Amino acid sequence: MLSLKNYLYISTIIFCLGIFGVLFRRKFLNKLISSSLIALSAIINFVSFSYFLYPEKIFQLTLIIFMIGLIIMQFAIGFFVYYLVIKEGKDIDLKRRDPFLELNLKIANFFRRK
Amino acid sequence: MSINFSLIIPELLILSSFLFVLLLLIFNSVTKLRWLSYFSLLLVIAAMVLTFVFKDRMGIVSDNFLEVSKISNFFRYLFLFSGASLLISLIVSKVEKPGIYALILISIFGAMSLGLSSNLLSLLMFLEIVTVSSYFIPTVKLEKIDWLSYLRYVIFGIISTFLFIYLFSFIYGVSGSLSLNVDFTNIDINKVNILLIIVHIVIMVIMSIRLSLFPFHILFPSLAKDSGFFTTLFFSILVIPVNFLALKKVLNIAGRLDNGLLFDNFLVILILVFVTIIFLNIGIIYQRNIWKFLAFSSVVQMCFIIIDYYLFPPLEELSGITPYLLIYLISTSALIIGLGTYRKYKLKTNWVDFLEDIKGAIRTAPVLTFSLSVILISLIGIPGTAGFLIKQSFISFINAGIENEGITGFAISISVFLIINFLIALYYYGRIILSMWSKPKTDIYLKSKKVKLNLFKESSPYLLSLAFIILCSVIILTLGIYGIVNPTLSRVLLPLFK
Repeated sequence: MLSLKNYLYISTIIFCLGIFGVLFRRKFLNKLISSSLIALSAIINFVSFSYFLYPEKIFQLTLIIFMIGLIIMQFAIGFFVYYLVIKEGKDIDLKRRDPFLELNLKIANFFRRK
Repeated sequence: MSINFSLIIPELLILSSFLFVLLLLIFNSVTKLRWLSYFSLLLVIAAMVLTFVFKDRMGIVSDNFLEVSKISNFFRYLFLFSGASLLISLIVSKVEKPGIYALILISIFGAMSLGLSSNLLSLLMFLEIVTVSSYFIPTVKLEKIDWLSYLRYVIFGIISTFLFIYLFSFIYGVSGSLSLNVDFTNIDINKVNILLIIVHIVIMVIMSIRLSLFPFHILFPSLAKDSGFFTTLFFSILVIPVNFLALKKVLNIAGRLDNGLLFDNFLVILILVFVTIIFLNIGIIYQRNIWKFLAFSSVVQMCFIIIDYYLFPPLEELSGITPYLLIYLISTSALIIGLGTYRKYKLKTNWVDFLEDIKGAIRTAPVLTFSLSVILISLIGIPGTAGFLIKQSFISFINAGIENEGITGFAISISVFLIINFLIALYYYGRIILSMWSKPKTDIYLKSKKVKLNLFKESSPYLLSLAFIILCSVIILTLGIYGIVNPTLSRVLLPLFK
């Protein structure tokens, strides 16, 4: 049977992957997705701690759900900002900096023309 | 979970007014609503009055989540006052974009609620509300914005939030609670010793970086260039106390751990913070942009404050370092406002970015330059100014060590570190002072000579900010001189923060 330690190992590995992505990826979306790994490892930590160590504290679980809501809010904001950039991005010089963003810009311009 | 709504009437008023403005924005296609600014100002003033009327109502709003205390009342006044002053300045400068009023109202609500929070989660949530509204401030002027720095700013905020949540999970694992009043006495210390220390250090380091970053124009100067002077001012003034409050609350948990847990490993913390300071100091030497300069140096100041916290365990928990944090707050906000005022009213250019821009400030704005020089000297840490008090704890620590154990290698290494750090600070703050006092560039000088303030529109805000900066420099000088006469300044100021 899996113990608390195993879950913590998994979450640590995911956290390290997230940190690696955040540090070494240069594009906005990649950084956002890598940071989601950090959030995922945090959720694994919370759930495993509350399951193995504090099973009697149900109220804490609501807090954890609340925290997941906070994470989702952050993502929504991240993607909304990204959408804003694509929508208003006609003045940005992205050729050198972010080819992926430029591609999205083209797609957005295509739909705008219609 | 029951909530006592009667304790949070001012917060509820601000929240409901935000919802009203939001609904108006969604369902009304009119973009210019002048009366909305007066309406928002009226509501903020009403919230101030309500706070004053219900000032004696204190207690737990919601168990383990929100709590009204004396210090939260103080911060309520501070945030409402800064919000009201921003609204007045927006009305005077005829900004008629309704979106900005909604953002101001929600950020005031977040800041006020953060003062009440008694749980790490609620603390993070309200901190995020303030931060998120600062994400959307630059979008009010969509056409001019530097999107790259904007994206960097947003992604930095998101990553640091997730890191906080990850670190909080360990605190939850160790203590079984996220409450700020958590009891650590029943925990088996031997098992979690190093882990808890690392978690707390990392939380404090990220908090201090956010503290210095959040006057967001500092690390991303081109962002603030577009978001307008008054809004930048508001966020630089509002968000420093907000983060200060959050850091204070997180430090409070660390204070509960002090029995044989953190102080045994003081050397580890000292080395980590010293390494951070050295790394940042090397970074500062290569900077040419003033705002990045200030960002790096404010993280260094925060590192000193963190060490002060550990050096002063007998000073009744956290209140011992509150005066230092206040000194830091006063000097940073005065510097930001001072440089902003100089470019807005004297240079009338877009932004002061480099050292060359402030050359010859002594000729065009002598009083302003003199006050700013006093503040910069205080940041170097020269005796006779308030900034010296932050470093004084080190000296007393070394003295105590020498008295007990004689001159050891440890005492010598700390002294050498302090001297080197002092010399580096002297170099980089000295460069700013020197360029302000040096001969001006001819074209800038001639241009600024021609600038005349419009008596009704510009003179009063210029004089107001000048008065604020002079007041700050006087406070710094007074505290510094008083600190020499009475070394236990923290004890004198203590009753204010109880």
